[in-house]
Amino acid sequence: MNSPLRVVILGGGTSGWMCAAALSGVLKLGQKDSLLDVRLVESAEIGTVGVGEATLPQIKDFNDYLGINEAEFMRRTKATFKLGIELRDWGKLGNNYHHPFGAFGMPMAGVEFQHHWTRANALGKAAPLEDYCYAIQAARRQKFDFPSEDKQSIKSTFSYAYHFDAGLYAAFLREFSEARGLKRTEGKVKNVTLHSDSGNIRSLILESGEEIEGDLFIDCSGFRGLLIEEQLMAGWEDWSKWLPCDRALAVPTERTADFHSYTRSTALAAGWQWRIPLQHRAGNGYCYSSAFISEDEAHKTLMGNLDGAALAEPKLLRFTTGRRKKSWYRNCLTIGLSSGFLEPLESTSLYLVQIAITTFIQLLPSTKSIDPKLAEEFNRLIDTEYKRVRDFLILHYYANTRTDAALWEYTRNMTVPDSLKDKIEQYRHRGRVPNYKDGLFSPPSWVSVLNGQDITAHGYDRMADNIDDATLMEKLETMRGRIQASVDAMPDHADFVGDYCFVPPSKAMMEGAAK
Amino acid sequence: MTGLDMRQVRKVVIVGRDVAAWLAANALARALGGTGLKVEVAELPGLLRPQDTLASLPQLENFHRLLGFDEHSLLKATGGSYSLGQSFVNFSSAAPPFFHPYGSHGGSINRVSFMPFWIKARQAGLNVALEEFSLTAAAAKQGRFFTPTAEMSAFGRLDYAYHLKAQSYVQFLKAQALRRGVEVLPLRLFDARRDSETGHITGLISADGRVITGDLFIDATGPESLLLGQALSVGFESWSQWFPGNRVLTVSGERLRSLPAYSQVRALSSGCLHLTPVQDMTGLQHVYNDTHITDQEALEATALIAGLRLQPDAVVSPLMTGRRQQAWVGNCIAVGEAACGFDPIDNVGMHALQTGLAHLIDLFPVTPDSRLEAHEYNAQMQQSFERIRDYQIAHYKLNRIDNEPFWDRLRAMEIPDTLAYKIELFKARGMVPLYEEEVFVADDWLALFTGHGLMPRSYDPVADMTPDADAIGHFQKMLGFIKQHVEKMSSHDAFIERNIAGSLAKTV
Repeated sequence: MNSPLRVVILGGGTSGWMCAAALSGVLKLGQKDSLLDVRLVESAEIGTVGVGEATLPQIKDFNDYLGINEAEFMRRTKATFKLGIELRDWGKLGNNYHHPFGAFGMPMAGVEFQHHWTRANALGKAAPLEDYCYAIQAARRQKFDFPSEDKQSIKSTFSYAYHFDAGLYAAFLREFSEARGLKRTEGKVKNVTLHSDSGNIRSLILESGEEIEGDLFIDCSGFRGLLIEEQLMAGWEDWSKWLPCDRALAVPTERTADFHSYTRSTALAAGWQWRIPLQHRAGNGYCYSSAFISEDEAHKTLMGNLDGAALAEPKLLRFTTGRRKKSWYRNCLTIGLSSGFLEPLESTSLYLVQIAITTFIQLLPSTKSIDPKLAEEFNRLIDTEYKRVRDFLILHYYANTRTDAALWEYTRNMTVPDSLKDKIEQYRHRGRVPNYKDGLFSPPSWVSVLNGQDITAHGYDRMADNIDDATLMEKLETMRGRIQASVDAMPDHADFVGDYCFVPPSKAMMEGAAK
Repeated sequence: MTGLDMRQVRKVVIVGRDVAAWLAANALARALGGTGLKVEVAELPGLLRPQDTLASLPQLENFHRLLGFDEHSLLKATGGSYSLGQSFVNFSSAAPPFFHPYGSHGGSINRVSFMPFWIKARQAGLNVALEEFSLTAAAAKQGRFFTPTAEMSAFGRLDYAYHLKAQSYVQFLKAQALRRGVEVLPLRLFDARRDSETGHITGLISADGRVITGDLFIDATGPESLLLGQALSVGFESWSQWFPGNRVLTVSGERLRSLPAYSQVRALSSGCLHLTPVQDMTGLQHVYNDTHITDQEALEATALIAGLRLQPDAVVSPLMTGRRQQAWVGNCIAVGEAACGFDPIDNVGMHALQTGLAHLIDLFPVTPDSRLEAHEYNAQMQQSFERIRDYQIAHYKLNRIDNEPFWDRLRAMEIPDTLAYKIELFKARGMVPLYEEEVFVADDWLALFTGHGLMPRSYDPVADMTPDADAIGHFQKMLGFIKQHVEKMSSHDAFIERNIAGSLAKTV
């Protein structure tokens, strides 16, 4: 390439800075043979959404890919550890199950564990499924430790993610990116110019009058899609008939003794409430459907449910669940909310940002006239990711027997995509769960939610019968005992965070003052 | 017994012959024999002849391991040999033959995969084919075979497949199955008896009035698909618009003086000639279309092109490419050619059979009502068969044989969208999109596309971050590594002699 490809990232929220960090961390910027010349345009006046405080284990791969030190990142973002999600009142009132970041048991005789459990359960001899899951046992007791590297150890059967302050993560990544040659420009976009022949974006004109030209534009401007929609009109596919939540009220509270190593999600009358423990506070919110509850009522419900003093007034976010029809269109790529929105129930927001970034890097254009085939392949891969997450989320709403509120009646009776219906039937019939090449979620995730929301397997893989009853029971008991013994020896989550990456409030204040 | 339906499938009847029937019997007995499942083979007279050979893909090794077969005993019993890939000859009027190795090409450089560096170098004028960077291809082309060392494995993926004598393989499979308790009942003509309500097959009635009952019936009857296709009238979707051959001439030739560890496909003016070397002979299959040449002309062309002394054992069979619209209907599952007929190119037949069996075990019915299993199985098998089909179609579509009407038409034909998309993305970027249920891995597609002369317009620019001199240094190191290791390898002949002692090679 003669001169570097000029990439302009519009928007400095978590998506924008994750994108900037990946491009500046992986590709050498600011040198004479750089592939890219990357600029990020953001305005301090525009607030960021930052609901993505709970993450999936893949975020660790992203940080590792960038070469970020974990303890430092956790200190800077006030992060805690996450072993999964606790789901309360999902499916039915009084229900409580975990979606773990880890396996149930271990496969035996070439058969996945859930089949053995179904069989043992039918014999009347199984403990609850979660007793055989390391991640859930550790989470239930609010413990944490790193997984073992020894693949034979039961302690290797889980992974972990983080809860962090998304605003601080963006700031941390900004520092990382700027240190590696990323050029940041403060300013609001006043106008966008297009090439008259191709219809591609030519430049952004800022309120200051500065014009920023580019070969490729990455739209990280959030829901509104300032470039992809307001300029290029790529179109939106609405999924709200399956996922009716369209509002979220978010409020921080003081840190309390309830310092869980998991995200908590409690299903309510018109949606669900989250609780995310950080080092210095807890994030809370009510994600709800405005068709089923008023803002006032939602506000009252949220404030009534808090377990600690609120640190601010709740902030309201509005959204429509769905997906940009083309997430890379012409010379404009969307990453984050401009590309699609799926409610944060399964903490997928930053995963979808991450996968869009890594897919983009694999398809990095090598010429200034961008080959449309690259966009086509990007869209094919990213579409799959969104649809997979969509189906998994719908399952949480669909599989319920709640009779206390109209939302649950609606979602129980809605027509779900065939792709999901097939999965539910396969599980009910024979305990089978999907295992794809591309996209979320992995088999244990499906098992946990299906089983957790009372979709019971009526059969199991015939090969499980190759093990006789007595041997099966012995193996299950041994497994359960090993998990309990190992979890007993694990440190408490609060102690672990305290030792590993905790920033005492006084020190944090001094650091803040020194800046 | 809370809520489980305990009515299980107790008996499986496999009706059919030869490899499909006996590999199915082994797979079911091995996977489910310990669960009280009874496996019975209603065996039709075999159709294989001494001159029939089989070539597998590398995945068969693992399948055999799951079945508990010992590789050396298998090769000894079947007069078999190893295969490191396939050589494609004369698919271009101008370009030399190319090799599809069962292994990877090149190693990554500075954590970036090899392909973009190779494309970049080609664009700059490097005249070294992709296969030169494959240890597997280099070993094969020099008549070698090897057991990978840790150092070699670190260089990249190194797999191998087998060439087997079909009749001996069936005898081997049958002996193994009988040892596992599989029962065999000889059968000639038969009728299927069906339940008037469910349409399920309840039994097979032989010409002499015997009734063979079962819960599940496997159709391993070959292209005729006697159970699924005929008794249950499941339609056939023909693929003849993509595959030019409708006849196969099979004949055996003398053993090649030194035994190649690969098979060869030669494009002829109106067909393809496949050579599959085994220990004591060379299996030849000539695939052609009878509107272009007669059977006699096919035989003459085979003798002329192969340049081998042929046995007077030539036979001609019809070739029907395409698949049954469903492979599983009611309580009947078709496997192998009864489910899908493939062109012989790429040696995919054994693998399609193996995939059908693996999915059947994975989805073995939990109750007599197997509608959900059938739904899932049919979806998976359709994808799996079509991914194999796409790979094969590419050979015909991408041919560069000038002035031959047979090949000109193939170059101009419409191809499935799934394949067209792969070709387009490869041309744009040198990468291959892989779908779910893909059989061939990225290395295979790269060998195929580059072998037929496709050259990408661009490559992953991340390769530009490595200075050219560095990349050239890595290229030289790789070529040196390959050369040095291949020189130390023994010949395929010697390898077989040493490891499969007392083999057919010695006795003939």
